[in-house]
Amino acid sequence: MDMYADNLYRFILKSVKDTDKAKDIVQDTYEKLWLKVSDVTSTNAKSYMFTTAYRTMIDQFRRDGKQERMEDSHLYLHSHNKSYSDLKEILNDAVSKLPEIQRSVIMLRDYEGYDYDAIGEITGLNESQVKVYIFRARKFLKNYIGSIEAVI
Amino acid sequence: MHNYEAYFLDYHEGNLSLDLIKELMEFLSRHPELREEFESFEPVTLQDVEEVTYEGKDALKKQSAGVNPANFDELAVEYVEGILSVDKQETLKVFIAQNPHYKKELELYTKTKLVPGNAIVFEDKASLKKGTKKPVTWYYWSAAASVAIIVGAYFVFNRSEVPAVKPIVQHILVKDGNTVADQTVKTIDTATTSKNALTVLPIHKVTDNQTIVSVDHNKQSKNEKTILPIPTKDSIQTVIKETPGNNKIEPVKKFPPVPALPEDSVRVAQNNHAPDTSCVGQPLIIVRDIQPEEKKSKFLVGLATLTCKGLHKVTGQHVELEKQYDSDTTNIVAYQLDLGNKKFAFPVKE
Repeated sequence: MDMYADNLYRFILKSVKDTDKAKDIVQDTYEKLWLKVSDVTSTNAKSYMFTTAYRTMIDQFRRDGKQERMEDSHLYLHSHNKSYSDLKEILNDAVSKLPEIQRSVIMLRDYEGYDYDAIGEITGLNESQVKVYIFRARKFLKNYIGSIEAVI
Repeated sequence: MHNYEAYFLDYHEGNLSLDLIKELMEFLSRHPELREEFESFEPVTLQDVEEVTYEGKDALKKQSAGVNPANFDELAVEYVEGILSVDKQETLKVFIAQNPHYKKELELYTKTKLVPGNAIVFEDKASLKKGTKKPVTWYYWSAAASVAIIVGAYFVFNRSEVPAVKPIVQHILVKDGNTVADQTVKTIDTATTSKNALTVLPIHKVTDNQTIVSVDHNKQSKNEKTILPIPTKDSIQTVIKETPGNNKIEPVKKFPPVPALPEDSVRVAQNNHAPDTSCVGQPLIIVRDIQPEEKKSKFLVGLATLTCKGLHKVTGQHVELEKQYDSDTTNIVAYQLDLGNKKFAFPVKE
């Protein structure tokens, strides 16, 4: 089970941007896993943990009143004055500016390699919605990278 | 002349007879200064002002098997996602060959693929093992109630105690009439303390992080003189550290010896008297009373602070017990329970 801790931590940390809160969510997730360990098989353990962690994170956002509007991401396109050393840095910055749901689906897709159906189960979306959010996220990232490269 | 606007409007709306049009034209030839105004009456419709167009019309049409500007983004994403059929991949390549400026677009899309790194690691994996459960939230909320009880208890005790005099020696540099407690050495002279006050607690106010530090000390015999430096702002971090696991603060290394102050440079004020502002730049010893409940309150406040830290860690909510100081005397004047959106102040009774 240890092998999922880093993935889970990365997934949550990139969204909550607070190491203590991210650690707490990971710990909570494992505690819930141990409570349900008899119902969780080794094949679906990872999916169970990502689902639990994601929902805990969303609950926390709601408690903190942290709601992002979908349009917000577009505002950032014209507001970068940071200097970057490589593409990874640009991409990290761009990902941090994505709306929460787009960030989550694209991380589950690229970092964890989940298919649309599995991402839908974790995030509570249907397959079409996942596809749309991934499309929007990639388009935003593409435009962000393009705008940075244009000024470099 | 006074009603020409009505004629201008009627003309542009096609409501004038031929005679009236002729008459209007003659009028305009006599008044060329009104020509511009006349032309401004040309009908303007909302349609002219507000042009709302739906840009994605192409996407609404039945999609052909080919690639076009309208579906390029969608196919490019599918290509990056690895779900584009081989046939469409070939079509996409042909489209890019015919439209070279789309090559850069496709390259940018391929760069959107996130690659996991090893930089983010969950270090405390041992805490995830079965059986290492964090206390449940209700435990911490019950602890929150205890904070209020502890703080409340402190104030109850604070009121009921009769002050007894135990002197503390505090060495303060008077500078421009303001006390600056952390810019000079501290002299503890037990000769000035009472017989029973073998334990002398030098108190140092750290102005940058608002921490009271109790410096560890030895019991001293009568007439024994000990000289300790007060850490400066720059040295405080290297001299003092917080012991992990409990709330006790202790020095991590011994203070370096400093020369004793010349007797004639030292002035003494007793029992909370204000420093003599006439001795600007001079070190000053102040002997002030320590109330016995101060020790008791220190324990209670320490307990409350520790509980607040636990609450903050588990609930993620901002819970902090802050001390508020008098800027002149460095005495604690109030404790404030800060819950993020709410603050409760408990003033310390003089």
